[in-house]
Amino acid sequence: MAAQTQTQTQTNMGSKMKLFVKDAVSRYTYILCAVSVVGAFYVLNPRFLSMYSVQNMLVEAAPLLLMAAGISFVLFTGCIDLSTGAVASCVCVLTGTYVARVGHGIIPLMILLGVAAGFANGCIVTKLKVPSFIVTLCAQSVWKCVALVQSGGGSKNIPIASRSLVLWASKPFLHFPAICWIALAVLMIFFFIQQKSVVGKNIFAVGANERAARMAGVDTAKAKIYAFVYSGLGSALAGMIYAYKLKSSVPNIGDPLNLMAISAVALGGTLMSGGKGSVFRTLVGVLTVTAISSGMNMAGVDAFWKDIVYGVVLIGAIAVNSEKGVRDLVVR
Amino acid sequence: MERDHEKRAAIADQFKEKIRRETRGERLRVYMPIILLLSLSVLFAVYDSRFFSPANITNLLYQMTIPLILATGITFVLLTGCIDLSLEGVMGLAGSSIALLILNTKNSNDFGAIGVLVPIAGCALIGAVTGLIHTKLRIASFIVTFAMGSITAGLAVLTYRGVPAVIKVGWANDLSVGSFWGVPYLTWIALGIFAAGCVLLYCTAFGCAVYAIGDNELAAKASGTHIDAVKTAVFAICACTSGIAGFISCVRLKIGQAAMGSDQLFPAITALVIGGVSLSGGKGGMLQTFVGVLIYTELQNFLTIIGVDAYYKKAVQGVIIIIAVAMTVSRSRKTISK
Repeated sequence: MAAQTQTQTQTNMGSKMKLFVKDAVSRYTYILCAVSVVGAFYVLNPRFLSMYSVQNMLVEAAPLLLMAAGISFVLFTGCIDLSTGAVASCVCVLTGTYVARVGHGIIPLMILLGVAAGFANGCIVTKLKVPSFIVTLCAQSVWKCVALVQSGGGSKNIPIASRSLVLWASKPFLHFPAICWIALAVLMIFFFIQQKSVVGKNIFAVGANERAARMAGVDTAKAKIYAFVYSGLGSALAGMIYAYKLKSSVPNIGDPLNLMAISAVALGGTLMSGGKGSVFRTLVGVLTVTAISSGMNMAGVDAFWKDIVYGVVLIGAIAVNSEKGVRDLVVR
Repeated sequence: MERDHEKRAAIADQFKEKIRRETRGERLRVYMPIILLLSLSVLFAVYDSRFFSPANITNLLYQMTIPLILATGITFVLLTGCIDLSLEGVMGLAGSSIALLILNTKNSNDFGAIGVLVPIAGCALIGAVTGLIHTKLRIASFIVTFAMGSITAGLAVLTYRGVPAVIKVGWANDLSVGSFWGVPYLTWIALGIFAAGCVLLYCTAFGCAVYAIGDNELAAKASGTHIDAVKTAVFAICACTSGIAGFISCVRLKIGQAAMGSDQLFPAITALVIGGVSLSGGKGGMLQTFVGVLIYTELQNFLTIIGVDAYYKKAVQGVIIIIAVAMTVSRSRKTISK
């Protein structure tokens, strides 16, 4: 009898151990993934981690980081935002075109535009109850139209006379360009919102179980709208950083960014069905995606492969992270 | 006792009224697109007499070809409640690989009909893979197809590596300009595919299963429908029609380029939602799709005639989709839209 109990406890211990290991592995997969990607490229080419290369990567990562951090909130609620790339393009074009005339006043204006774009998405999703991917797909077409009409279809340089207005962004500050520090600061703010504010908690509650959240008295519509506003804000900042970094307005700069941003968030282990994730995880995901992109460049891989790789990464990351325990869940 | 009876009668009346209101809404939803089509036709004809000139009717027939093929395929997907955002990539992949396999300027391949059929079959296979990923790994369809769209678009560019192939076969020209009974060959192909879609949807057990899944997936599952198999087939059908659309586009443009697929997804979805196919699944059908394609084509044609900038057209489409979906979404159901 005693022996039987002992074996039972042992098996219990064994399964508990297994569960613990499984839990730990699934919890830290994203870091493992980032480390292995960086490690692999480092082995392929030791210059991958040279100071110059790292600086380059961080400059590449800055706009993506802003966009991905914003989009994370939308994914926390279980919705999706496909319009971020187009908003970034639009803001990039408007910044490039008007910075000479408006000066630094363009920054609050563009932030306002991003907030308005997100607010519109959020309102249509919550008030008209249209699925978010449809709303944002349509918003994408609208913002792309604004970008193309405003720019006339081609990219334009910011005139030399007003270059001094945008040069500060590329100046190094403590080894890294100012835009990297801005991206990091905004990420910190987003992290604070996620961890400490009521809105942040509500966003997670909506993602985990919308009906339960509503019954518990959470204003679900407000939480969703806030999530979309953060996403629009992040995209607008990303677009502005591109304008400052490239010193020109490019109407299709954001096209590939949307897929990259969503892939980065998924790589960080944030659930696409909502309720689980973190902006910090997104940071690691963005670094991984940037490492893949610049590592492929350094290894001399054809640029044609990029879209394919991001697509595969997106599906793979989601497949690894998705919850398979729930059997009766209807997935559409 | 009597009061109880009265109460019951009142409840029955309320219920009847509710049912009546719902059926009225339903009827409105069914006839609305047709009324819209007729009124738009009349409006356009009055605004510009050239709208129904023989030349413009041929134009309209040409313009509806690709949207009709794509819409036929995606109707199945939308009826199950899923969505396919990979149309554009698959279409580009089919077009560019077909151009490389038939007589072209880039290599010495000349496989003829096999060179057309194999890529289309390959597309169906890609669609099946999409369906399997969606059903077996339980990932939402819009994100799977979003990723698949970018993968296939990348593959399309990779097939020709920068410089697209120009096709040189003689029949391509005959096929793209020829017509029979005043209707272009290409439109006949589209109509044929549409008819096949109708048969598949309305006359087979598979069609019933598609409706059942769209209406209530759990109920369909409980009554023994093979959900995963049907959904996989649905995505394969959609990718197959995208492949055919890629072939048509390739024949018309005489060049196999990945960009042929860009901006083709929107027309298909716009046509469906205007026609009255519900995005939440189970409502609508091929006839709604057909009416939707007609409305869409007329609108596009009219915007071109009055000289609207191509940039604005897409934005207009986006706004139309949101309005159409917002009008048809049933708010009475307590589903959560994500």
